[in-house]
Amino acid sequence: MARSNAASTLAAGEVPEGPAMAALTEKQRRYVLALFDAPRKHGSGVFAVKAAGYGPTSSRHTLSQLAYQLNNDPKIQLAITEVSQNYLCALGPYAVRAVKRILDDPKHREHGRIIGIVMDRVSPVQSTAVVKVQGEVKISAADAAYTMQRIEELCSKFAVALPRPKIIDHEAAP
Amino acid sequence: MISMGHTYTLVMASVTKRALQGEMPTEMRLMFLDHLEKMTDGTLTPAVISMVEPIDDKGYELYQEAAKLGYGRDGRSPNFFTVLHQKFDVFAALNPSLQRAYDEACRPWRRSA
Repeated sequence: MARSNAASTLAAGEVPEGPAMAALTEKQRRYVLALFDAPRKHGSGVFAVKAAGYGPTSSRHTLSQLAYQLNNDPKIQLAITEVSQNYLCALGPYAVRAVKRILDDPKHREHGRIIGIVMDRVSPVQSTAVVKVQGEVKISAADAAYTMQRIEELCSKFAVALPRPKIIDHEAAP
Repeated sequence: MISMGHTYTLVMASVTKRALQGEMPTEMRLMFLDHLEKMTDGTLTPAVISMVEPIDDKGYELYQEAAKLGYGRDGRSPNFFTVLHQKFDVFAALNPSLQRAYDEACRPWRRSA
């Protein structure tokens, strides 16, 4: 299967290893790196298991089961995430060089689009957004006391009879 | 005789007092009581408002029917407030405290006349 030049020229050694990879065994590390070198979308687990050196005489079915178990190991998953991020960072210079090549070639069919993408990042279009913030104001104990006092004052002033408080277990409800 | 605004305010006060009889959050209760206070002036004194008793079920039904007329200000058709004023005698018949409050509000003007 054809692979992009950038991905093929990016060797596993160029990608720095982080703490998640350091926590793995040597075979597990090789398995994780092999996943990124797998030539096909399907069967990449079996390819990586074989490349890592697991069960050289095992059947394809056994290797598939082993790949499944490895993929569901939280330590392996963490390492895959870490290596993915590292790959993306390491691919940055390749992407920039590719963009530069297209910009240098006015006849390239994506020339105009790439100019637009670059210009959007160099001088982004400014927009104004109105953000509405809603919150909840809670009354403190002092405010509550003032409110109750004010209610009693106004009730007596205007002869308003308040409903009787609910009685719960023979005690006045709060 | 007191103004139309004062007349319908008396009815509004009786409706407000009915609302205050129900269960509600403390902040809302204070809001209703503040509305009662805003109704007071030189004519509808706190003493007059305190004479008003909560409107009963029939009166409240009548009030809700009047509210359906809306607050239109075209002057040609009666709106909510004009009905409260024009039918004050009906509200007063259902809630005699309204008539007593009305008489109390009119008393200073009668005395000076």
